[in-house]
Amino acid sequence: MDEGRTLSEKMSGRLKKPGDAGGKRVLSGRFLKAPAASGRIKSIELPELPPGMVCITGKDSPGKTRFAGVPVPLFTGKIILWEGQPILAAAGLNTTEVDEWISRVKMEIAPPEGNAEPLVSEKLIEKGSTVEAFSKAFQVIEERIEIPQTPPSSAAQTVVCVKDGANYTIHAASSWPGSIRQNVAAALKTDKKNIHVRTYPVSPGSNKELWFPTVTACQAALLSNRAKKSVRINSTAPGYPGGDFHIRGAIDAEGRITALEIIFTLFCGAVFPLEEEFFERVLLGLFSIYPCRNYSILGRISHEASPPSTFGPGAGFELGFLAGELFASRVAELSLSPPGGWHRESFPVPGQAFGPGIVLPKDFPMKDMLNTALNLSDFERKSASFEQTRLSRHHLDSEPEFYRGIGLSCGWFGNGFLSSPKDLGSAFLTLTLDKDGELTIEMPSLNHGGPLERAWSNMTGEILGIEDKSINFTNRKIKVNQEAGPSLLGRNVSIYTKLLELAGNDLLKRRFRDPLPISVNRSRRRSGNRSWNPNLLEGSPFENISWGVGIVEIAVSTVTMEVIPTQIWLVIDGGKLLMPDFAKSAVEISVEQTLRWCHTGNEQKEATLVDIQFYNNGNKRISKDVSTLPWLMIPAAYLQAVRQASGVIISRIPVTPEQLRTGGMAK
Amino acid sequence: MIISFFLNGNPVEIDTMPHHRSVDLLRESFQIKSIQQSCSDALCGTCLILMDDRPVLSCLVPAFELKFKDIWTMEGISSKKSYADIVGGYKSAHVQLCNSCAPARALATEALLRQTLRPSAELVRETAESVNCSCCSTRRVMDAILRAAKLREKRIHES
Repeated sequence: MDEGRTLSEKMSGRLKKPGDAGGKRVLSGRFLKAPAASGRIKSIELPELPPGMVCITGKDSPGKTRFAGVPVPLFTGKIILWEGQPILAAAGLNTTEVDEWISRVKMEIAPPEGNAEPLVSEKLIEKGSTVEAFSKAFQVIEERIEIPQTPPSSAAQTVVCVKDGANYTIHAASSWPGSIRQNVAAALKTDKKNIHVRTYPVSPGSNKELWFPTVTACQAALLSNRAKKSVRINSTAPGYPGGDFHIRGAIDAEGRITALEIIFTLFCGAVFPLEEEFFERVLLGLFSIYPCRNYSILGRISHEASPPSTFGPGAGFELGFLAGELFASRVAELSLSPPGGWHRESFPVPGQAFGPGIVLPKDFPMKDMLNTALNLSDFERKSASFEQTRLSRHHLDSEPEFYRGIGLSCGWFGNGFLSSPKDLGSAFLTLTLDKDGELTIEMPSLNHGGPLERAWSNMTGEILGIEDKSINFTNRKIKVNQEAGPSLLGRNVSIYTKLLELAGNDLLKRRFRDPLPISVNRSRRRSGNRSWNPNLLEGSPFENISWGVGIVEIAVSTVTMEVIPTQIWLVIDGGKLLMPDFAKSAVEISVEQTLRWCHTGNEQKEATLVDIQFYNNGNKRISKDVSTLPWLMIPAAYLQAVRQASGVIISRIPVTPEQLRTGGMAK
Repeated sequence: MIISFFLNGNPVEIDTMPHHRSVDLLRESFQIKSIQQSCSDALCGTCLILMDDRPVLSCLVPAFELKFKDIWTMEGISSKKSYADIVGGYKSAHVQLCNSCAPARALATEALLRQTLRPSAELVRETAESVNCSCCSTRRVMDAILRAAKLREKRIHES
């Protein structure tokens, strides 16, 4: 695979995008969306359709798409669930004509009946005796953090349904082609063999394209079925969920957490596919690394009348870790021990479980990684010095231009899915070596010439002694598309790399024994993780875990109250790095995205210095995700640093200069 | 109204309506697929074109303003030998670009290199931030632009 050629095609605009599919005769689809967040549709009056134009409403498609058992409506029924929910879709050759027709649709919407309180589901999880632990506590420490739900993206994402007789080919950027195939077939009430999915690269560093391309694909397919022509339609990616966390912890005389009482609410919009997975990941993140055997957690999911959410970059870990690590830093601060030392002493020891009861791996690397990060950043000295400045700033004769702060946070990321539904965890690939020596790898890879695909190509080439140019990737075959779960949460890096290695070695053994062409299949079907107890939160929830330590140093302007992240140190254990340069680049992207999530204000004039160290890149170890860890470590470290510099207890991100001003940041 | 202009070095003529935008005209009538209409609101920068060597957002330019102008898009720029400098710069900086912003980033880089081969840090940063997409790190893109500038300078020096 030629990296230069792929990049050249991409930059010249020649690389195909979903919107390019189907040619000039494709009909353009448009939505009529709900103008209010709630209400009951009393009547819809549709104008006469001009020739060549088609329309579908909720009545024509009473079905819902399903994602691991969670239904998502394709169109509004009688009741409007959120502002912007599609009420109907129309398609025609001329976009202006379609828009004009939609503008003539008459609707009568009645106010919602009964109370408009959001639907809230809650779950209480308890273990040990929190009452006893709190009664014996040396200190009780509280922490609160509010993370708003992010709005849907403003950029349009195109899905095209190309109709050819009884066959439908969906062109979409999606990390879950299997769900598109399954749901489109169900929406059209046709056999899955008539549905083909052509996937395109998804946006790097996010999990946005999880379920919404499937909904749009179903809408495009229904229009296409009615028009008997191909249809192109645009939609926007949903935002990420938010949350409100209140943590209360019992601390013993040595500064250890002995019990936790947590109440949190997740704001996920009207519907949230895979919310169970998200909820459990938030729970695990709240504990971070520190062992705690007594806890009482009341978690709520609030379905208010706002647009649906999708997975954030850590699929819930980013919310949980922010709250959990912020609480940990507060404990470190109030226990009056050096923060680095507190973290080191609070890590689990061999034989002990971490978090609520997760089995500690034998090669737990965090102590070494923490020491490296502390040394690189000179953390303890800076932290003590900034703290001293904060405490004695009222003695200063003149105010400095900046106050400085530094924060520390630890994190871990579980690769793959936690929940048990079979269609989430399954993974398939096929290697075929043909008579000309060409190797075809069929897998739901969504890299399309990206660095990971090149790493896989190099790895397979090395195993089989085949040149890179003789290796091709495809994801168009039925079985691969039909069965595999979503390619996110590090599944590509960890699970598919392992499957590919196994399949390559298998093919190597058969190469000189069997006649060509030879095909080797490798699959992984996961129908529930037996080593994980979701009720007790005990066992091994993930096949492998990436670890990280992050330190953030910031400066806060005393004039504009802007927060300027000056330097970030990250020490990451990503196992065996397939392509170190690109791993570093992926981490850098995540750092920039995370910083955008953490603060608002004027654009920074200088880029933040980021020092990324990969821990123990030994060849015998498996590969793990590295790009999600900045999302889990940076926000908590950033907030700690802001609190230290400003002296204001900020309890909401993104941090704004107004928060500091109203919080009373002053000399 | 009939307008004529130069598109990627070739003279073209088209009948257009006054309310048409350049981005729609170029995409629909001339099949210029390197420009996107992602936000349609001058936010994303993916509809960037070169108009008389100046980078402009084609979603903000009415189609009639193209009249008598020299318009370049990545379809034309990528057919030139000097395009290899831009690809080389981005490749060596290990930038992971997404499909959506890659042509606009290349075009913004080309615009800068036409202006100067020794750009200031501020100009490089401005160019890197002219396309608003979170798929890649700004620092890497800045590095890529500087590498592309060096390659272009070397090419000019050698020829």
